[in-house]
Amino acid sequence: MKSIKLLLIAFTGFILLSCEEDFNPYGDYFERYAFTCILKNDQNYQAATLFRSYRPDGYDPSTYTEDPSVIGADIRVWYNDSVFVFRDTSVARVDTSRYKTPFRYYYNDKFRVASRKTIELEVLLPNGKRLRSNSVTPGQINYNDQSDVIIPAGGKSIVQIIWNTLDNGTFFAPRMAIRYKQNINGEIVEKTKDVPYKYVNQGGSQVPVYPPPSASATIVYELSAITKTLEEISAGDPNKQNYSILQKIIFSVTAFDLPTSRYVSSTGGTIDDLTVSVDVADYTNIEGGFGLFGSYSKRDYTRLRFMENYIESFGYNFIVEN
Amino acid sequence: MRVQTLSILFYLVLVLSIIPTELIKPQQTGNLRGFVTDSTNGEALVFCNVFLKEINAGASTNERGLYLIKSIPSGKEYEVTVSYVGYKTKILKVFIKPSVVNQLDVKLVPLSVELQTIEKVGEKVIHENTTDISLERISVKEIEIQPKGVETDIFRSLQYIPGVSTTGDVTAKFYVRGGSGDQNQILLNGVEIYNPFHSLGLFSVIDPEMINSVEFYKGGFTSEYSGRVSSVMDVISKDGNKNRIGFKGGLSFLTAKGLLEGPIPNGSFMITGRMSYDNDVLKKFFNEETVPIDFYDISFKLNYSSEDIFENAKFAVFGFLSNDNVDYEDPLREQFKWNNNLFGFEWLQIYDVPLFSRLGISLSSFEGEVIPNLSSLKPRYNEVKDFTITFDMNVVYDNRDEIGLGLKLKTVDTKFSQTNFVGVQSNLEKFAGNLSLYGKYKFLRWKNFGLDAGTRFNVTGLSSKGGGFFEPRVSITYRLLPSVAFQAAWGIYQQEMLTVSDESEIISIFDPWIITPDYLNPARSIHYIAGLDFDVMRGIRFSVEGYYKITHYIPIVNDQKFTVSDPDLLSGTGESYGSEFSLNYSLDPLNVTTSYALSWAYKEVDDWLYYPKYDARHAANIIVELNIGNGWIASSIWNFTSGYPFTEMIGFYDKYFLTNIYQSGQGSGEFDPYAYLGDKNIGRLPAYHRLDLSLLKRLNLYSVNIELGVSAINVYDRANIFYFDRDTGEIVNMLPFLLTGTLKVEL
Repeated sequence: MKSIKLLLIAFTGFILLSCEEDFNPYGDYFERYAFTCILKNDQNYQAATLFRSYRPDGYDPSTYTEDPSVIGADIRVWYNDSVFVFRDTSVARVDTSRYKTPFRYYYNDKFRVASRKTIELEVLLPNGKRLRSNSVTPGQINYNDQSDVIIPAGGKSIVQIIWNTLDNGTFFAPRMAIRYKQNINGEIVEKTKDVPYKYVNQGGSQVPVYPPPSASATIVYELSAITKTLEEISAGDPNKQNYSILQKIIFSVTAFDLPTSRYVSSTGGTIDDLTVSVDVADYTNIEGGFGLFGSYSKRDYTRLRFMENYIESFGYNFIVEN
Repeated sequence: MRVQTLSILFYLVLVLSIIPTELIKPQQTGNLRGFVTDSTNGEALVFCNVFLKEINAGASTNERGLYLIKSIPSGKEYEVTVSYVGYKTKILKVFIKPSVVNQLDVKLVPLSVELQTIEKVGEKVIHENTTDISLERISVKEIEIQPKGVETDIFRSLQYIPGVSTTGDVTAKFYVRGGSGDQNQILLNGVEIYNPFHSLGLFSVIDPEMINSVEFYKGGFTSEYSGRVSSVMDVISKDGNKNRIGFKGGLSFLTAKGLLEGPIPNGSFMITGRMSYDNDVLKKFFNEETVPIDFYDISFKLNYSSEDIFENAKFAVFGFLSNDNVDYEDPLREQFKWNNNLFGFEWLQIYDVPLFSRLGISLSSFEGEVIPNLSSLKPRYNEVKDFTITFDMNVVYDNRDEIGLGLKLKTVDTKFSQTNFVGVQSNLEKFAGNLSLYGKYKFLRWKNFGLDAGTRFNVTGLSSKGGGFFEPRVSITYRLLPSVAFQAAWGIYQQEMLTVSDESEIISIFDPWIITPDYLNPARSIHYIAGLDFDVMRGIRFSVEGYYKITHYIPIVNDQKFTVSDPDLLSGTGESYGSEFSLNYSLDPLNVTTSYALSWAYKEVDDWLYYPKYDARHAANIIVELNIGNGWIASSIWNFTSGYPFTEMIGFYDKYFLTNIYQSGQGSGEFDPYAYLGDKNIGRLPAYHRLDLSLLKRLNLYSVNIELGVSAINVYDRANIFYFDRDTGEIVNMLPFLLTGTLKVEL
């Protein structure tokens, strides 16, 4: 009996002593670098960022406040038999809750990319390390003739735009926006308002849903969403005549090259909110580091126009364009 | 090649059939056969001992309550002792007539005091050469008194068996001897359940109320089982009360459930149902997050047996439906659905010659779906339709040797679609059939030696490379001393279906099943097992088992699939080995079981060797059950597992997340901290340990049996680490101290 008591005491002592244990989730630290650059076809201003990795004192990375930007790197992009060197610069940071210093980045304003061209990257870091990458710019988007051209389209309750490209695996980001002019105390201000492809009821309120980047080569906008967007333009303002809607609607599709498509997909959310995955795969096409070197190609669809009577039904003015 | 292998099988069966014929020539002996059932409800009593004292021989009932004792010298009256744990031992007289099968059905009366340990009479004699290495027979009555997290759960109780591991309190998913989760087969009345979990794997879909018996093979299973390379859990459901209409109702913090059973002309029926009514308690399991899980499961069984239709035949129709739904009722959030539907027919025939046969026809389906709605999730879909016909027959010779033969015809139709993390879509559809045969010989004529040798032959395979494959298996028992038995098993196993599950997911809501793609070989495993079993003294038993298991062609999800043409799966190798020790003391009113397992598990893919997430070097359990008396039963379980592997963090970098390509400058995206990792699973979490206590009170009020239970989980509030959230730096622990209760009423 005595031995059983001793055993019980020892057992209880063991489990109580072992209730608290230190846990260190870190392995041996080695520094890595993250480079991000998406070259554009619609402007000459190309930007890139370069950060070093870091380890906070604790486990919460948001507590680390030392700007990890790397300056002094030699960044070169080869395109069309030319080499473009990126220079470093900085801009006032929008969000200063974590880093107080200006936002540092690299840029080159001398080129824009065309379709189906090889782009190559080499980054020489101040410590002598190199990062490399390459890609091929996306092919041009062609809009399908089956796409709608007027809003509303012949009694339909949707507006559908269809496009295609010769590339496989490409992700697309469509965008529709209404251009309008507002008379504010006699001054005419030109504005745009993005159009969601639908509104959904969430807890009693209507929430706009904008199309996320996806592999789908078509987008369907609910006419009711366009109508609601038009209503929101002058929401709360009884003077509807102060608003003039331009006939042509902005509609663009941005096609990403393959690395950017994969990157956008991999960063577009977890598998689901309930699955707990402890080793999430991290996509990169940067040899020797993390991040992305890619490109996009944006093309506008210029045939989409509002019907005059539709716009006027809101009490707005209608501006005809050629 | 096929013709040649068929010929080999044919000759093997022929030789096995011929050898014993000399031994079954007519002798002045008789046979004794019958069913042992519960007197109160007619339910079959499984693994019950029937012992003839005069000849010091006996038999154990099978999973349907049937026993057969061969070659009893005839013309004499014998004293038959029938005993079973929890039942009053019955002694009967029977006169054995020569050259016939003497029928003796026995009804045992349950003891009023639950869990009173009655030693099974003749246990040592009956089981002296039983070839049952790595087989665990799980008693539902024992599970019911164990502490419960939320529900009484058959899968939860498995984790206390040495060699079985889980990755945390949150999931009942289990891993056996280093094998992955999809390598475990769950059979209900011989029919496969593809997704046997409710609520993200929190507990099993099999309601304990429907269970009559459970056999669990940790490995080394014999030729009648097929389709998995690690383990088999064979659950037989209740037949239903043959004497009177009965009802049981139960309530836990999560579910309400009921069972209705009763007699029908020439048979019985049983129907159970369980549904969730409140999931508040699940917050404790999901890090205080509310998960709107709704689920239900329904099972039924109808039995019919009439001498007017077929003599000595029993027919059963059974079904099982389970459904889970996670719906946030928010169009911007995802929805999850999954369900199992299973229907089966069974014809069990007992012939006058010592031969049993069983014909089974079944349809089992699984459907799982992730519906993104307007969330950023990617849609996923999986459907499995399995139609199976099995025929098994068993011949028992006078010298106790047996021959088992059988065939299985299975057709499976699978559909699977998903988009992986880099946006590449996979659409896999396949319809295929597997015809397999098995033959085995059980050499049981020597009392101190038993051998079960046989092979399964896959005439055709579900996968293109699965046909024409033999799966030979051997299991032996040699009793060195009356109280010491040496046991060993060896076997080759093939698995042609798998789940496309990401190994890094410690809670997974979607485990889609597919047939092994044509570009891969089906997984093939070899088991080597050896052990010793000691009956130390009355009420004390000690056993030790060592094993080595190697599995080739394990399919592993390819996380480098960047184009449609890249394979979804890669082929890897799994290797595991270890030793398991268990010591059981069982004498009224105390039952103590201790176990310890020392094990290693590895996986290798693309020349990269790593520990799978469920590899734990040490695991120990202490289970104590005490019958206090007056209907009070107390139990405790202490569980220890050394640290599971995890992938260490090296540091963070600020990763770019594209939010709106149409905004220029900083507004087009944002940079958030993102962890980068070291080598896979090279680190170890701290050890896991937990103490659970339970107290149960059974009472009878106005002819109503009531059972009240209270369980305290993680009594000393051990902070067992579940995982580390790299985004926030938060350490997410497993279950904290938790008090739960259950109520069960039986009319």
